[in-house]
Amino acid sequence: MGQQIELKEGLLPWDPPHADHVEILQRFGIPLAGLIRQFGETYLFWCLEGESTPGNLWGYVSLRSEEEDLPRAVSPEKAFSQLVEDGRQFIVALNVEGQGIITWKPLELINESLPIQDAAHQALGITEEQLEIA
Amino acid sequence: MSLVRGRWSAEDAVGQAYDRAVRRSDRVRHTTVRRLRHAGFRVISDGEDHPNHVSVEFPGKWDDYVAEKFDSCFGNGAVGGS
Repeated sequence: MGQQIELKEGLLPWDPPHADHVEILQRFGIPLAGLIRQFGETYLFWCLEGESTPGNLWGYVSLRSEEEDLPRAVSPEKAFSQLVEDGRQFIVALNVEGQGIITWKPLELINESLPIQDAAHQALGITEEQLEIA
Repeated sequence: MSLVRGRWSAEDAVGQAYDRAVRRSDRVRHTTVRRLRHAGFRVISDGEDHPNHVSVEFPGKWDDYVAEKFDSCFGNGAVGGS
C-alpha cells in the first residue's frame, strides 16, 4: 500500500510541510511534476488535471528506492500512471489558485478502465467544470 | 499567465506545455502578441521552461476585470482535443 504524504491546507502542491527536499522534474510557468522527500520517504507528485485553470488536481504516490529514477526514465505522467494502475494507493488533492491545497483524499484505482482523473473527481466530489471556475 | 508561442492544435500544445497526451477536455485558443499588448498586457517570450514558453503579465492586480480583458484577446472558438 505504501506510505502516504502529509499535506497541509493552504500550502502549494509542490511545497508540502516537512519536506526535506523538492526536485522539480517538469514545469510550465508553475511546477507540474517532481519528487518530494518527506520523513525519509520519496513521493512523485504530478498535476493530474487543470494545469491552466483556477482549480487543479494533484496526485502524490510513494516511490520505492529502486523506483526513484522511473519518472525521469519514462516521464512523470507515465511513471505515475504505471504505479497507480498497478494498484498502489495515492493521494489526490485539490488546489485552488490563491488558496493553496484545500482538500485531499487517499485513493486506490479499483477499476483500471476508469481514468485517474475521473477517479479523482469521484473521490473529491468535483467536476471538470468546477475546476475551471474554482 | 503562461502561453505557448505558435498556432498549435490542442494535441501539439499540451504535448509541448505539459508533456502528456491530449484529453477530451483539453482546449486550445489563439491570440496575437499585438492584441495582448494593445489590451495592456506585457508579453515576454522568456523560453523559461520551454523554448515556446511565453509569460503574460498585467501591471496591476489580475482581478475579474483584467481576466475578462485577457479573455477578450482570444477568438470565440476554443478548439478541443480528440
